[in-house]
Amino acid sequence: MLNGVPAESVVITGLGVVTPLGQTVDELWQALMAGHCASRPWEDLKEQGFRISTACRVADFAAPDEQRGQFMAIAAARQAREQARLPQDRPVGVFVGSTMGESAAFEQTAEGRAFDLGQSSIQIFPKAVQTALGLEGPLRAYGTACAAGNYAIGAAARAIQSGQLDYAIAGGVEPFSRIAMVGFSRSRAMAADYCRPFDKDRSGMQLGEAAAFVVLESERAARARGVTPLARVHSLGLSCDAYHPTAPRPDGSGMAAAMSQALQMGGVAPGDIDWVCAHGSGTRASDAAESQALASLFEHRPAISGIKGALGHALGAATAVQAVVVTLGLQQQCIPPTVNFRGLEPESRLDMVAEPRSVPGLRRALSCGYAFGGINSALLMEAV
Amino acid sequence: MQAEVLKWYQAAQDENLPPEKVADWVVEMLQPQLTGHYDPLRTGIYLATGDIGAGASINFWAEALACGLGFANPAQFPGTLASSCATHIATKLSMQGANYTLVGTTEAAMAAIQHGVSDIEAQLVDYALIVGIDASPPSRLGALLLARPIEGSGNRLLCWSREVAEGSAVVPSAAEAVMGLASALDDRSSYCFGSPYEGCVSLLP
Repeated sequence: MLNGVPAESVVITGLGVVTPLGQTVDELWQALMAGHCASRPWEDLKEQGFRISTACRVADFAAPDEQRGQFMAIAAARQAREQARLPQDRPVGVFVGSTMGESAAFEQTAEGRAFDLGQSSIQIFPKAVQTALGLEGPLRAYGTACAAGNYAIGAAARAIQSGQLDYAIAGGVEPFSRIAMVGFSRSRAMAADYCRPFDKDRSGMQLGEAAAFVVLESERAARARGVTPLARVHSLGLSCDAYHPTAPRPDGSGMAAAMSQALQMGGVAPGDIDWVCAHGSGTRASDAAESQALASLFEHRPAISGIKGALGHALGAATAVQAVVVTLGLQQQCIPPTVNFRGLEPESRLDMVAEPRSVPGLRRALSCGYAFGGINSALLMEAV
Repeated sequence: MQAEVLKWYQAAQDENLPPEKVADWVVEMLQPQLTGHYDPLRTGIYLATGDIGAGASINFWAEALACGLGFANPAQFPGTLASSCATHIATKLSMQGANYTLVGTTEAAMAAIQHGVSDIEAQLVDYALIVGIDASPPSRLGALLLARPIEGSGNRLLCWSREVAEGSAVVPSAAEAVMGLASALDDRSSYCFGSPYEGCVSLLP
């Protein structure tokens, strides 16, 4: 079942990334397992007067500023397509999630340069991927902020399960945004030193950028054409806090509702979850609410990890990167560490993954993403 | 896939509405129309737009440059996100179901309706509020409140299908698509629109 649609299993057959810790899937995985952190100071941000000038940006990625997101998306989607060896003669849907669009184009417009903003908003990303990769098929752009990657992947899986599509490339992209850097900084959401998900001394997030894409198809189709399924995508749970423009419900009930819906739709009990790749933004309020949600739903203490200590918060791309990391973890039967995590608050009982953890039999995982405005998402995935 | 149309609404704002006021305007228009017609805990929002967030992003950055990066107004930042309008509606109307923002033109409206109808059929929500909006002046808004079809209710049905019907309208914006449906409901006429690969939306008696 995927969100109530009875149909066959949907699998991931290709992965691609552009991240601050690697521009291939192998580079990213090695860096995460080694506990690397992409955070570093940036001279250009300091010169421009940013109060905080550390961030997790992709170095050595050449692209025009106002098209950076499109170039990143194309590079990541191309990797995923090549791994999946997608057939040339069938429609391929392109589903993309993002928060801001081409932020640099908006910034330059404010500075007096003229742009066609229709070529800069989120809808340009699926179109750019489709054009660059020579694809035909439906295009979807999800502007659901920091949960957008989950929305795109969940919707693509649902389209395949319902028979609407045979193949889809789905994921998220977020080029570095000075608008977001100022916005989060002025909202007092930025970390004083590093992003430390769920840590007792956490002080906030760090801004990142990334693109990550997966190829989705039915398991039957993948096996018929001799392609190795990498992981199954089961169900996407969604809810909205309807509470505050920036703060989550303190009791985490909206987050728990999204996770619970994903489990129900997937026909899975909370006790069947082995690993939660958590949102873990590193902010006091969000991590506290997420801790409450996890504690309320899971009595058996599944392994909890987060990638934002290593990669920063890539906003609309964050859950797409998580989907790639969860796929690799399920394949390798291993959970990468929560970088910069040092210790829990005394009252917390979360089973945090602080070091690389080998988990033979690792089968089911939830990948969670939450966003401003109380948008909550949880994607249920399974080892093949 | 079908859903029953319980309520519909359309509006246009002739004055030049500041980007940060668009979400307030949408809530102001919708709130009186929807009172008592839905269970907010089981209502999802499926919003399609081409430009929510763009104007606010430009304004936010211009203000940040003008007053200094350390003095930008943090209250304006959430409005820069494409999702800001849908989450604002959810907060003001207490709607706790799925909260979608689809960005684009016809295909975004198609997808918003497809997600809403599909979620009703899957019983993930009981009510789906479909919103199409153009934020750029003149701001335009179309909205439909959908529910599971009840036989004999007399309400018209909204039908989503994979095939594009002959004579389907080609609409340039998400707001125009939803406003076209609302107009047809007003005068009980027929209306359908579609796009290649996305399918077709039509009204049934």
